[in-house]
Amino acid sequence: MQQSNGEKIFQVFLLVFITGLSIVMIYPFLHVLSISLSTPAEALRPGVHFFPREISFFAWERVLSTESVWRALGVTAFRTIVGTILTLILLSMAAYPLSRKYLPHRGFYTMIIVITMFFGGGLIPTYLLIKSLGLINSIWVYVIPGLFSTFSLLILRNFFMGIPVELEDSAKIDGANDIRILFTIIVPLSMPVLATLALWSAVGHWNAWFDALMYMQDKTKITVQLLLRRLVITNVGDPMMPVPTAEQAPETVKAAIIMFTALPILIVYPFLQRFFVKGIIVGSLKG
Amino acid sequence: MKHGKRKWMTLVAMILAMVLIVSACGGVNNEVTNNVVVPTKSETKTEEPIKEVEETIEIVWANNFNAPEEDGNYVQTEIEKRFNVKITNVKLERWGWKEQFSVFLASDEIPDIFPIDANEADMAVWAEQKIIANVDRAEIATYMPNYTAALNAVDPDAWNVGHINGKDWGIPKIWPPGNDGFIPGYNKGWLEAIGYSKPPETLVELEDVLTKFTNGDPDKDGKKDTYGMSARGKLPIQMFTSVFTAHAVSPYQFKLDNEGKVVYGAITEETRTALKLLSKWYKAGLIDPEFITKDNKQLSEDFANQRIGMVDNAGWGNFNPLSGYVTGPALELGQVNTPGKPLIGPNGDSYAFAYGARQAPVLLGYQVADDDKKRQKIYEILDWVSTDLEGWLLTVAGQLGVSYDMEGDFVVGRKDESVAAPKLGYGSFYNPLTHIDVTKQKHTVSPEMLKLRESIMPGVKPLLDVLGPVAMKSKNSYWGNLITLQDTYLIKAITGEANTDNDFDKFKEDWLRSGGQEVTDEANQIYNERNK
Repeated sequence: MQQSNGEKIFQVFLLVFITGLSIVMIYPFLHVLSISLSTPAEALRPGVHFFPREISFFAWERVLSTESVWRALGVTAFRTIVGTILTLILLSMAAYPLSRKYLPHRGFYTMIIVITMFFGGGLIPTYLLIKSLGLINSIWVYVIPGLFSTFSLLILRNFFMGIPVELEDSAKIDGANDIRILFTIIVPLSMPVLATLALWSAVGHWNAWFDALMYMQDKTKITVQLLLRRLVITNVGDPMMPVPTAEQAPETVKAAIIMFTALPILIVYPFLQRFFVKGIIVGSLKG
Repeated sequence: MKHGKRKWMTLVAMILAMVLIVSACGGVNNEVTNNVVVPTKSETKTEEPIKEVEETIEIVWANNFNAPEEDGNYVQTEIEKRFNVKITNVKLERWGWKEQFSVFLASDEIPDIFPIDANEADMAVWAEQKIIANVDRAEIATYMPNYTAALNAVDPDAWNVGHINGKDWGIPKIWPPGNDGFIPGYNKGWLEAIGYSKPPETLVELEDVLTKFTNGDPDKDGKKDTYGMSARGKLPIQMFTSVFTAHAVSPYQFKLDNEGKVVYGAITEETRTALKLLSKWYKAGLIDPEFITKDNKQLSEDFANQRIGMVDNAGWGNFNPLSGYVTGPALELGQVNTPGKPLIGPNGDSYAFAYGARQAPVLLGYQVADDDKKRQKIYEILDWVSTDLEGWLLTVAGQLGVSYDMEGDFVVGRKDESVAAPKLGYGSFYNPLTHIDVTKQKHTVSPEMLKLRESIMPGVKPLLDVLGPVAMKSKNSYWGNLITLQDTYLIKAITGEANTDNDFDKFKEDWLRSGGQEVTDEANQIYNERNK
């Protein structure tokens, strides 16, 4: 294909722009990774760190040999996996009827669900609710309150609405009930949007810490992000703590734990990415 | 129609199933929860009067320091056994605890013992809102005799902090290391390179040192890439304290003027003189121009990387080679941080800026005021953990031979994660008064640290706020704006954006007009009441 000079210049410009953008996004990771693999002295040196100048695995050994890190990671993994799966099941079961035009009072139901997008109880009522539900200190406090996302529901509903009713009709003639239709016809046809919603939910779960702060008194069940926050915010210059009850984490250890908590979710991204754009666009435009 | 009906049935069945699942989860967790959830004020109040003397008293203990991982940990169990109490832990984060705690309070979950970091402003608000209990000094003296003796030996006036509206709110808390002020530290190699065998002693000498640090290439790399000093611009109260204290002032403390009236440091002539000097140094390039955005981490790195040659916001303990602030990181890169003395100013004054030992008291929940047995029990426990060697060692260091060993008097903690503070419950969680009894210092300060202290601290006079921590009504209304006004002016005056003549007068006028006058009046009123 012939390209005019203008187009070529534009292409070059695009390439430079995208490269620059990538560097801006990748560099912080490289920097932190490089610090985490450096000796403590090397980590103190100023300037740009792409590669550790003196390699040391001290920080990673520290992080990987710490029991509380693994335990918190387990909690976060639990909430991410269980929370995401349950969210998808629940959303599908809610979105499917709402996407069918023959559901009586469909507009009314949709409206009461949408209203929750605009009004929230606020922190204290939410706390009281969670407390009276008996969720304080339960690991399910990470999963149940956030199980249902109205925004995701609307996206999913819109996607389902794009699936022709005729597909259902044939299944119904063959004797399939609604649940069967949902799980054997509708859901398999909606993988792009489900993958997108799964990614949103999973990333949200992975990064969540505030619920652990508010609702979890049992410190053995805190999430990895709360643990991370605790280690990283520790003040460098807290002068003269009486008894060394908590050792200050060196910069390299902080960097190592930051990488350690970011890696798993980073690894998930590329696998789901191909669904990503299609999922959002299709889900939001049709309807 | 029939078809539609079936569909509805399915939907209803599904909803019911979900409800079941959710409530089942809730049911299981209730058991777990009941052990931990804080009894609310109303629950405590409706308790039957205690029939037997030996009935177990339940104490809800909140703290944001060293929160133990598990309930029923070693230290908790030991206290429970000894005092026949049942402790419910409310574990808060060290940072960000107030957000958590406010929600608990708003949900009517008021603990019996409040977190260490509650400050005097919180106290005043909570006293007004009837969230905390007022206490009786005589009762505390009766049930906490050892504590009272220890407190009186150090600071009998510590009661002032918790005294508002004619009542006492909480058990006085002091932290004697707070009286140890900041000591300036210098790069030893640099001092030698510019021909100084010891750190500068006067401001005049310091100016010479900073000039040579900046222009004399003390790191011998042939480049002009050094500054005399920087400052913690992110926390302006710690900015350039060595220069201000040489003028016998901290801009962020109240002091007495020549007539014996209380006056705020920022608007005194001493501050003006100190700012004149600092702005002169800034203009001459002796001060790192990036000081405005620096925090301790950057100061530490700048010193270690030979960008600056002096740091003046470290305590004596930071000069130990293992300190994570300045000295330790500097040693990693081969630089030695050597302590000086507080500098002598133009009038011969020499002070070390200090926060002071007084802190907000240990606060007790409102419900404790009506429950004599519980209150007295709490006093007994706090007396034991703060002054009795057994109770103190238990709460501060855990279990002998497991989490710590004794080397003479000195407590050596074991570096084993499985017996760390969060596992066993030691630290400050069950002991908010770790530092009241100064005779315990020999157990926490190692012989090496004692030696270090002896080499630095003798003769150092702390510069203290004349009022100390105090809840002031006028501060609630004006203080936020006043501090912003002050921070902004101080930095502008140093960097030369504002001058120290007309602009200082204007700042002083603005400060007084924006509520500073009211604050000053109230400060004087409080001072006069205390010194009647």
